[in-house]
Amino acid sequence: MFIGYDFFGPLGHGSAFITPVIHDRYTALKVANAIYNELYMDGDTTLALTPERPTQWNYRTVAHAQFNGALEAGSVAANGAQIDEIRIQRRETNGLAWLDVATMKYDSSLGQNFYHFSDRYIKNHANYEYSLVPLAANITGHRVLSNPITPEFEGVFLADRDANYRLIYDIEVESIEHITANAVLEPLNSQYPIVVYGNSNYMKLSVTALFVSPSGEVVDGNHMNVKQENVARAALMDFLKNRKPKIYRDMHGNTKLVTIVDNPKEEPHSQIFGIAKISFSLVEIGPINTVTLTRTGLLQVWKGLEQQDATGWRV
Amino acid sequence: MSRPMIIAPIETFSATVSKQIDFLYSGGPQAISSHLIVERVSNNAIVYNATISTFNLFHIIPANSLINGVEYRARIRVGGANNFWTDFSDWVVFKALSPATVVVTNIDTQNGDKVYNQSILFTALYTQPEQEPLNSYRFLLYGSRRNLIQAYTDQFPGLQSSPPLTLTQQIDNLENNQVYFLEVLTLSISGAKSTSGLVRFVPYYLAPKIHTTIVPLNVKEEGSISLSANILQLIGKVYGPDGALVSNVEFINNEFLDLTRIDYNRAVFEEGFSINQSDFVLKFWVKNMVIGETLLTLTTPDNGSVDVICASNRIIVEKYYQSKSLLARYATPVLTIRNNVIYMIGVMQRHQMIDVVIVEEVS
Repeated sequence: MFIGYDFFGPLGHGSAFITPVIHDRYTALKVANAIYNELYMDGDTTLALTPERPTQWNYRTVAHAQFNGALEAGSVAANGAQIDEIRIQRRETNGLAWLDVATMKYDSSLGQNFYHFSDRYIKNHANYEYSLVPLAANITGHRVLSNPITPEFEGVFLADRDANYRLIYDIEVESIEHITANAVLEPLNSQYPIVVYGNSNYMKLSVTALFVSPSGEVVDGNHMNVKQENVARAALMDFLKNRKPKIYRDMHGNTKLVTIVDNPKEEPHSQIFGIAKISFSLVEIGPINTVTLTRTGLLQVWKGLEQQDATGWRV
Repeated sequence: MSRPMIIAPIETFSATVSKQIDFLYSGGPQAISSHLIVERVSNNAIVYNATISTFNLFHIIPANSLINGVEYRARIRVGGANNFWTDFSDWVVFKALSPATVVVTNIDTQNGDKVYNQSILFTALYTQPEQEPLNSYRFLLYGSRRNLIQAYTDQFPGLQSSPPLTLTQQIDNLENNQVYFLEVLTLSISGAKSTSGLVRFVPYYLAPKIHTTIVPLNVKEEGSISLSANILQLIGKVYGPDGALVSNVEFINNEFLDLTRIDYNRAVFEEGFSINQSDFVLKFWVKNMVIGETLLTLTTPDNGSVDVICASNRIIVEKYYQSKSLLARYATPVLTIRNNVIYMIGVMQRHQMIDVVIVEEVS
């Protein structure tokens, strides 16, 4: 008995009569010689060959043509115009304004259709919804909304467009200082002082944590892979000292556009060799919105393909 | 002794209409007449010299007393009782100019004042008979209730540029099917103002749509949210029997594509079409199949194929290995294939084996 082969199957699938021809992919579909009403193709074979017509575009749908005045068979309809760009936007569910998170130059000739994107500029326990907006011939399209989602994570993360570092052990987020410049002037002829305020209004905080590389593990009870830890920690220290804007987020729900100030510190652990306690100070340098993210290079909007990663999203 | 003073500057005006020249006068006897002299600046010729008996402190130059495109200067004196006259006022220079016309040119007025995009570079044509150069212009955008939405910044075409001039303004983010009004205001170098008036327009465009769903997912270890979507733009192409691309494909009732027509040979989905696995479910709804011909072909990169063929009384699926060297054949049970009936033909491949069905659609 060979599993999957049936000598007396209803459609004559017997291995004795039919030569199994192996195909591993298809790249073109051609139709002719009939009047076509609808065409649907899906990679999910759990859909049975029932005569019901498809109602929606699924995650593994390959083509769905309805011949209703256009030869569109994809999940994007632009009345025959080429889609130039697709944007991902995000907002908090109780907010109104959408914030650009990523943009993608869309190129249908690449034959890609599964897109994946990772949003790292989020607040812990905020409630978000996402949307996709296509653009064709300078026309902004209809918005596709996601279900709301609430991120939940532990630890402190520092990220920019390319890197994402997590600190999780022995974290101490020290008191967050709100800097508002002011001066108290005491005129000699007055009982009370005069208080003058500046425009400064930003946060300053410092973080201390024990850094262990993401793949770090304890060998023999209390030994680490010292070489691996050194390489990972050096990368983190370089990241802290690269003078570039970063996104700081922590388990308390703080998400800030920051840069590192003062001197980051490494304090080697006294019992476990190879790992160290890291401390550094951060200063908030701006709001998180489309304009500042674009200006600080944390988001690229309306640029060419050169920063596209393998999945198509520039992140 | 007091003398009158013409209120300056005198705005540029068209000589084809009458013009009121206002002046100030106080401190002397009651004015009962005013005497205005207008000279041509270029040759000092007096072109207008008249006295009007009036108590009013203005003097009206009748229409067509002056000529458009010419620079003039004017002075005035006031007469009182007993043949009393004040001294003349200072000269005030002004210019008579034909009115300019400003016409917005890229609104489709034949078709309900439509514009066909969300972002439009509006153009307006500015003409002025005496070729008076333009100092500046600006566009104003109004909403459907003629409420001002935005006044765009002044633009300066440069004094060397004489009419006719094309004035442009980029306007973005227009809402689909909303009524807007556009106005163009111009200011010439001698101060003549003109306007296009409020011009109605309606943006009309087809906005792109994505039919996909996006699925957000929490990634705790990375402190991030990952999003996945299936986005695919797939536009089919119809070719004629000579292999030439058909540019304007006609559909029947926006419901059917007739590939039995002699001028339509086949429709091909290629750019953007890709399935990187052997398993698939394929369903299509057709009528009036041509007996003995191939209805549908799926092609692999190495010239393998899956062909769906309409035989006289059944549907046959033939599967070929590279360049048709190896064949497997599958078929539906026998049935009578009739015209003008919609059939659902389903093909499913699993474990390299194919199921094929044909079902008459119950209408």
